[in-house]
Amino acid sequence: MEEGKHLRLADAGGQVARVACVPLPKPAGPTLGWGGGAVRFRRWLACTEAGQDAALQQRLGAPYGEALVAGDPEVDMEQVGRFIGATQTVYLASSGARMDAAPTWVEVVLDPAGEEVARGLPQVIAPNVTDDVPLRWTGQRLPRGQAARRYAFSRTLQVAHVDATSYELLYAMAKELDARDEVVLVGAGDEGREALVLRPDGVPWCAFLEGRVDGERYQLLLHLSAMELVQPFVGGEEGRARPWPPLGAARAPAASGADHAEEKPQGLLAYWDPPAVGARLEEESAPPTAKTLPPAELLRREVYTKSSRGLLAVRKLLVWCTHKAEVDRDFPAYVVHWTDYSPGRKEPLQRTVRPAPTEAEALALAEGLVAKEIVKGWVKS
Amino acid sequence: MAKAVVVTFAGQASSFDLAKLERAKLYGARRRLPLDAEGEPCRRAALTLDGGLLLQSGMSAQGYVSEAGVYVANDALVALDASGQAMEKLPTTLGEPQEAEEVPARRLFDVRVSAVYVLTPRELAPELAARLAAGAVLRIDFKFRPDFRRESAFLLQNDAGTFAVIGAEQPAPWLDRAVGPVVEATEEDDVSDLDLEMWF
Repeated sequence: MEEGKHLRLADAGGQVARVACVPLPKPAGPTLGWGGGAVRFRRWLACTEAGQDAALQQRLGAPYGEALVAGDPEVDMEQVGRFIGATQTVYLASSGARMDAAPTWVEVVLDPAGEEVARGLPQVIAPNVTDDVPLRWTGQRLPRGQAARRYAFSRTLQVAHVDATSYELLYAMAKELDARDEVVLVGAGDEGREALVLRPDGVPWCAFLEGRVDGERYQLLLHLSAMELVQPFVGGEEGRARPWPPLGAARAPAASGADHAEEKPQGLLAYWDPPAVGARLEEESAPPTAKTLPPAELLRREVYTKSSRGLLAVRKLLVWCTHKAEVDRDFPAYVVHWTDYSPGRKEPLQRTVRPAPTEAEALALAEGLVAKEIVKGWVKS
Repeated sequence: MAKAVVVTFAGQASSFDLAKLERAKLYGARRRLPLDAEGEPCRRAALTLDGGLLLQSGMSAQGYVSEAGVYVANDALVALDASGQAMEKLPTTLGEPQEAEEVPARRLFDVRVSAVYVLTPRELAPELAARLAAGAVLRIDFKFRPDFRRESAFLLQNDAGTFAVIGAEQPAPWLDRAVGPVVEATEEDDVSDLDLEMWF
């Protein structure tokens, strides 16, 4: 069994035990591969800010097909193709400038139809599953089959004993629930009546304990649901069918920093999962050190043009050796860049960028792109 | 018209239209918006840790590369099982009759749920209608789109309608007296580390 976290759990009589709570092992899923080996997902730079369509239009005017034939203003060969590792989220002002100060956050409340109904200061919901305040049985019990038909349980944690005392308590819980073929709603917070919030601003989970025994063995599972099995919104909250009463024995935890609590939809499950606030790291990798890198070398350049309604469309192949891979692992050895410019299109400038480890591989990719994209009416310049 | 879920039960075929059930459609949603000093919405961007690149929308590409760094097109990728053997892609089950078996409702507690659909009958055979109305849970093989994972759909009915709960079964291990402790009980445990949702 995987390692888990400690929490305290109280039974119907108020007896408390320190127990472990562990996730169920994930079913082994397939992995992706190619040529008998594993593959790795990577992101890389496709263009710099100066190479984007808006910047080119500003600099060159529109249309700018002739400039793409004469030169390569859309490509920075010293940067494009570089693998992107760890990044930090930043925010740009509406003017496009990078902000010097943290943005102001507002929380927008959308109704089930997706319409904005309120906005105000963000509410912060603190986690309430801690190691010092026990989860408690509420008086709400449901037959196991009924609970399975009313709630979508998208998370399950297994509650496990850590010593002989907790074994006795958990086994007794599992045995009682199994014998009665019931699940019991558990609550968090000082009164043991709140939905479970496992992380800051997390979803409040409706949590049911389910137990099974087999001789001296037991399973005690905490099934978490954030959604009832009911019909979706159809033109009015009153019109939505919830044919059973809401779980009155548990309530949503209070939010702090809120002066507009009345905007929050009521009901145990009527919460949302907001995006994390502030910067975050997206991937793991060490930051590159500053160094002077050798310049890239262009190996192949082919330009194809086509006139359509008086506008010049351009397709262009560039293959270059970065000469950087040996000194900076963030760079591939070679890069293949395909430009597709069509001034009459909604997105005039599109591109395909592929890294390659060898010149032969890069040229093979290049041949594939030319064969696929240059089919009819294109003239090599 | 989208393909239906087709179920065969007791020798009779039934079919259902399906619509995904999502939390926001039931309870609404809240979104947090960043505003600049003028009160206008900000745009999100990413900065590399060395501060050298500011990545805005459309400036990056992504894909798979082999261990040797060779770019691998998506249509050349294969799925590998735990032993490294290539797996066959499973076709969608939509539009194809799937034999239903009645299972105990408690099996739903062993399912790692990946989606929930509201089912609207196109054709509902009397035997299936009767079993669902009686509270039975029926399992069929289910694949919304072709891929490599095997999943089940558990069909059930309650007073609000008919639903399909989709997922793979994942039974929990049995624990006995001899098992554990699974976590070393120490006084140094930090309460702030109790972030259970990190597992999901």
